[in-house]
Amino acid sequence: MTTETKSRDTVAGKPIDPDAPLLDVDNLSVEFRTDKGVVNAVNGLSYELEAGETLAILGESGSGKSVNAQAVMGIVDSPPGFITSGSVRLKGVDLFDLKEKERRQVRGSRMSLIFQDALTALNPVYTVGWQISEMLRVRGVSKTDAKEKAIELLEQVGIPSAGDRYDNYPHEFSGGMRQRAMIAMSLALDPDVVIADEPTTALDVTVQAQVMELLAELQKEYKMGMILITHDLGVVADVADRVVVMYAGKEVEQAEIFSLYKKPFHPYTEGLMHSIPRADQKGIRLEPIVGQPPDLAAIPPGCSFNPRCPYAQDVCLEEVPAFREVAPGRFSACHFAEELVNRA
Amino acid sequence: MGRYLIRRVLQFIPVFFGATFIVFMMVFLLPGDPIRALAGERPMAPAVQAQLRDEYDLDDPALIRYGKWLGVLPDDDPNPRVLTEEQRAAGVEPPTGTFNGLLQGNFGENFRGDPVSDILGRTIPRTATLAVYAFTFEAILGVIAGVFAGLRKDSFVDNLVRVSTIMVISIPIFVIGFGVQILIIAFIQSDAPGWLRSLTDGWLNISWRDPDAPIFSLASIKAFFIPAIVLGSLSLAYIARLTRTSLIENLRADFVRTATAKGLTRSRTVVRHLLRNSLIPVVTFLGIDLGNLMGGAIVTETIFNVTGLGWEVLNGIRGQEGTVVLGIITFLIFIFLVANLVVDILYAYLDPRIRYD
Ligand SMILES: Nc1ncnc2c1ncn2[C@@H]1O[C@H](COP(=O)(O)OP(=O)(O)OP(=O)(O)O)[C@@H](O)[C@H]1O
Ligand code: SF4
Ligand SMILES: [Mg+2]
Repeated sequence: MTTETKSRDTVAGKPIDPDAPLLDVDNLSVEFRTDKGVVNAVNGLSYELEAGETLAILGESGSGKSVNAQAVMGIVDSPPGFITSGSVRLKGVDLFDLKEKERRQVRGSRMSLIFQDALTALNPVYTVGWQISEMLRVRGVSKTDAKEKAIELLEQVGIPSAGDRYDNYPHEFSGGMRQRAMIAMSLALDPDVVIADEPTTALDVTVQAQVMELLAELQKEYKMGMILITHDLGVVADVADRVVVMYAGKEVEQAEIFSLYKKPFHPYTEGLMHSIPRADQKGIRLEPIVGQPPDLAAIPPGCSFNPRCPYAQDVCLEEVPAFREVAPGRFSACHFAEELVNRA
Repeated sequence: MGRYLIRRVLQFIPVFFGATFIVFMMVFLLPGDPIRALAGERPMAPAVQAQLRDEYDLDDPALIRYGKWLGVLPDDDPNPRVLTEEQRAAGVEPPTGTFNGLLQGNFGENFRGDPVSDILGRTIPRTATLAVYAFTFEAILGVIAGVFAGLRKDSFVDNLVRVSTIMVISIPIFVIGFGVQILIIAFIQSDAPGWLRSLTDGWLNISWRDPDAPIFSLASIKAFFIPAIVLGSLSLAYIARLTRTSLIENLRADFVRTATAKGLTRSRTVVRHLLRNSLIPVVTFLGIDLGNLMGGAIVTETIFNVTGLGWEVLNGIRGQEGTVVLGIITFLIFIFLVANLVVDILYAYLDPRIRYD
């Protein structure tokens, strides 16, 4: 399809490790050096994604979800943003070791990013079709082939009369169609990993479900690993296999989605669950988590959740809880996770 | 777009008449007696004065004079313009009482009897040449400076651009003009090395001489070099700042991030996505500025003795030559209107979100 033949055995020319997970994020830290001080947006984040798996990353606004996605893609605004520790490996190949030119071969082609708001993510002065086919054209595909492929992609994501829509500008699309076009663009080069950063937040509730369904379908069809970033577990519940819960730029809990749903093993996750409406628990009063999300320029010592945690003890103010397996397949970063487990 | 264009061109009509009427009133209601100004120190016989007053309709009410000037009221002066070549050769007397004004293509005459259209024909090419050079200079240098400053915010280049542009903006243009002249004189009087002198030979002129050469020829560029830089300096500063601000605004835009995430090269991201979007306000500014440069050349032309439109307007005001001033300003109003229309069309072309209908 492309002249730059995509070998599944290499990443940017480097041999892959066949035993390594598809995507392995390890101890990732990103900080923003701003006039108002250093903002620690991501603090030692680790997670893995297997091929064909959908991983949800859940967290409140400002917990570093988007910055994590940008760091994985290698598009953090720098300055002010700096990656201060960790590694991101795609099939065992450390992306931080790559030269910018090699990194560029990975972007868009091996992993792609779907942005939250397609209206701002698409360039207003070019047609939707042009922007999709640009991905192919810059990789040596001829103009006519690129257009043909772009129309095919638009059809695949459910845009009616895609051939005519090819020449529309983003503002001539509805919100749902724009996000579909964005999805089409992210799939253009058949990537191994797709990161969708709150792909439905900007959409109407009815359209949200359709777009989520489309993503799930395509994920199966393309057999790719998908990361769904969200602040609302309900939206991704039907789609995701596993969940990583983030708080203050760190993972605090990780589990298979249904067991997490049944019983959270971290007080923050528990708080999140009580704060969102659930179809299976109608009538239960919603209680938002007390207190403000942490100031990332001044994260409290000890457990970063301690100012808002109903279970906090003295030890929480001093010692950072380790992220550990507290039950089979269940990981939590809380000193008292076992108590939560045993309460069940 | 077609209907929009028609509507816009129709809007020209009231704007054009309104603007020329106001300027007409201002020019002809100026205090002072144009005939006395024409006579200067020499005495002029009262009979001659009366004849001139009659010929130029100086004693008519202002509205009547405006009507005659426009060509919607009949003029009682003989009008040779309506004669054919043969009639003129045969010595036919020109008729009077014809409509003979702007709408008939007649800009009138100055007190020496030279048609204002001749003056326009002589001066417009000079001013247009000066404006085109200034425009080229400010557009190229301004955008380049703005891009370098914007891409490396807070760097040395950025600070240099910020400080130098604010200086140019805060210094009046005539100070810059005279300052440049003083610098050139100082350079000529200094003992600069010979190679530097030969390198700058012909470029550094404090007074303009008609190069009598086509535009963009070397002789023409040399002759207009210094005046064009002075004329373009203010807009250059604005363009550099506008480009810089617009670029910085878009640098963090999501669509630029998308372009990077698509795996585009840095240069393609910058040129095709960042610049393409950031230059929209700059291009519209440039469009309006082309009109501004034509009209704004008065000071520069006076300092460097460029006998163009601005120079002629100033002379016209000094000599109370109402028709000359009016003719030139009418032309400039027309240029402004056209420039504005072109900018609006360009804007819709550059930003597809803009729709006129
Ligand atoms: N370019 C930047 N410069 C400075 N700070 C930044 C920048 N980008 C992100 N941050 C900071 O990093 C922190 C994490 O932001 P991030 O966008 O990752 O949050 P998020 O979890 O995606 O939230 P949301 O749900 O609102 O999208 C925020 O406090 C934000 O202020
Ligand atoms: S470690 Fe302490 S403060 Fe943190 S979540 Fe557990 S109980 Fe709460
Ligand atoms: Mg975000």
